[in-house]
Amino acid sequence: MARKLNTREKRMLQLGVVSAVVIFTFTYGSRGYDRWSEARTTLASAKRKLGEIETDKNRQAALAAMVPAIETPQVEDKQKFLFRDRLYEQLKKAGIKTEPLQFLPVRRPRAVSYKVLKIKCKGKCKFDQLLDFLSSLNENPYLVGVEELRIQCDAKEPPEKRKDKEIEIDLTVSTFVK
Amino acid sequence: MSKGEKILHSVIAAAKEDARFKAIEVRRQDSQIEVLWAKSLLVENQTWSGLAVECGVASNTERHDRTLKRHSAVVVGLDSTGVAFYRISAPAVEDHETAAIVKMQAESLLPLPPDQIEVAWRTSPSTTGNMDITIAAVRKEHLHKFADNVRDLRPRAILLSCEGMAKAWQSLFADREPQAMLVSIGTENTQVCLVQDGLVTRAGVLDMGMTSLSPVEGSAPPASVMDRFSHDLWSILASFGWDGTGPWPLFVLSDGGEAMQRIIERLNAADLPAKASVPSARNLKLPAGFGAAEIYEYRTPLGLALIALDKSATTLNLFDRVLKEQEQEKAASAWRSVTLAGVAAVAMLAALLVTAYFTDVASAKRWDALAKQPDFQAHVQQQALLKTVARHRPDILGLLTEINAGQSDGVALDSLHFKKGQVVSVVGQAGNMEQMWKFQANLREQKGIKDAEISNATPDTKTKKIKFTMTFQYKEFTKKEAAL
Repeated sequence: MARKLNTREKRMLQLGVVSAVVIFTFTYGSRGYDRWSEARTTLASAKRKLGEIETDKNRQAALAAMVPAIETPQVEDKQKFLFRDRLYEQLKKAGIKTEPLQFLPVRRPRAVSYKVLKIKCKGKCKFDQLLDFLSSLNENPYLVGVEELRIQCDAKEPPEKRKDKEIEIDLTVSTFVK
Repeated sequence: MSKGEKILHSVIAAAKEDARFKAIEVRRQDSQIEVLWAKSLLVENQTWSGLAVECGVASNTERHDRTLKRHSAVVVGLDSTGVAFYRISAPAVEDHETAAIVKMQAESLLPLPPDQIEVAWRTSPSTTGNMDITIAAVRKEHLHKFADNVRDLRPRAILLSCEGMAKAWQSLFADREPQAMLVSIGTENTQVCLVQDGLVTRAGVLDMGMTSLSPVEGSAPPASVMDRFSHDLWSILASFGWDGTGPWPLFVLSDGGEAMQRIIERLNAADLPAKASVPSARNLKLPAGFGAAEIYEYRTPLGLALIALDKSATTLNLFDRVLKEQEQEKAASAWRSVTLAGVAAVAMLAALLVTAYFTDVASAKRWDALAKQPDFQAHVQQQALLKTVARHRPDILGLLTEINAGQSDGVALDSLHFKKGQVVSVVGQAGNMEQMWKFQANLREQKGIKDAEISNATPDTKTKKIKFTMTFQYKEFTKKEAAL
């Protein structure tokens, strides 16, 4: 027949329940905690990756204005010809007479994760032609940027007579290669 | 008196009798007792809480009057109506043995189960070599209810009103005897006590008082009522062991009024040798307007106050255990609340942790899957490339535009040299120094140009112009780390 528990029995029962809870917590709690830590690390990593995507419309527009076209860099042997051909095409289109384009040795700067290939060219053109070239240069999908530009007028010519005269340019541009 | 208890110098005593709450504050000065004030409230309009407010012991919540001055200790009297007195004789033994005897006797005497009854007892030496034990018994429920009712008064002790009355008679009335029968006629009932050495040993209550015995002011008590009263009084005195011829005098406490005198005469006529005992306050310092009639009226609270001031250890204390139980119950209740709050907090914390765990695991799974999608990865790489290129692509057209915007009259540029990681330099000629400086100042105003400096300026003897070289920083591209 059922009877009521006395105080001592109740205390023992309470102690048993508490012990069971503690054992359960320590056994499964630590495993759960490990899984939780792992989940949090994964979550943080995924969030960081997602955070790299630019979602700001204004910044996206600014980026598009600065870099209207870009192709994923290829291996050096492929990329350098793609870049050179497109550059030459642009120079030609702008009417700039150049000496043969010259590849500079590939470098691996610390600031970026790609290697950098530079092309140097010397040429002559009118100032307007240079401006045309520069305005279309960003459309080269292999271009990273202008590394060096030297513009030289004929200093002996009086300024008022220079307008239609040619200027000498030294241009170095860069591209990324894998 | 126990070691921890303080000796009281002033006390507020309160009791309910004659359909009134009565309270009095008494102070002991040297050997003299001084009555400071006395207050009386009609029961029908008031409660114990109201009396507490009136006495300045509790604050009035309705009037938002929360200021409470320090006050004297309070003792409260319990009406003896619900208290049963028993007197037993037992061999003179140790206290703990006496307690066992009392417990056993009480269980056989009392009409209720022992766990429903609270008992207090005290012993007095008997002439037979044994000891007499006075037992006061009352229902626990009644005590708890009373203790709850008087909670606002925060009483230091709750005593029996009949003990207060006996003490008052012993201290403040004439005709003091070591042993006497006391009759205290109230408005609605009459308290009868056997008092020995100032202590009540037997007590009883008759349900007739002045309302029945003296219904009309100045008239004699009705004969039938008086006969019943005398008969009942006889019965109760007989139950105390009084046969009318014993050595105990019978005193009726009186205010000295005619109504009381007429009742005593009628009792005498019924062969009850009652004598009036009137207040005689020799050592009592009274406030103005407080005389024998007032002492009589406030005899019970006065007696309770005197007991509290004397702190007599022989007082029948029915409430010690009740008050302790209430304290324990309060402490247990507080502990239960804390435990409950703790359990609730732990449960909430556990729920929070579980929710956070499952949310994090689910989010991690979803976000990770999203981040691992090939399209997404390609997009991230493309955007990273875009950002890198943008960071390393100088706006040469913008540079030329800014230089052109800085142009001033008389200045012509011969050459420009831009190289990442180096300052931009321009070589030109100006008609005079002012024009050159103007050009420098204009350049300094351009947004992307900083630190425009003239590094070289020499006059040309042939052209009479100033040939100059100017250098400046252009955005971030002229810093060393910008070079690829």
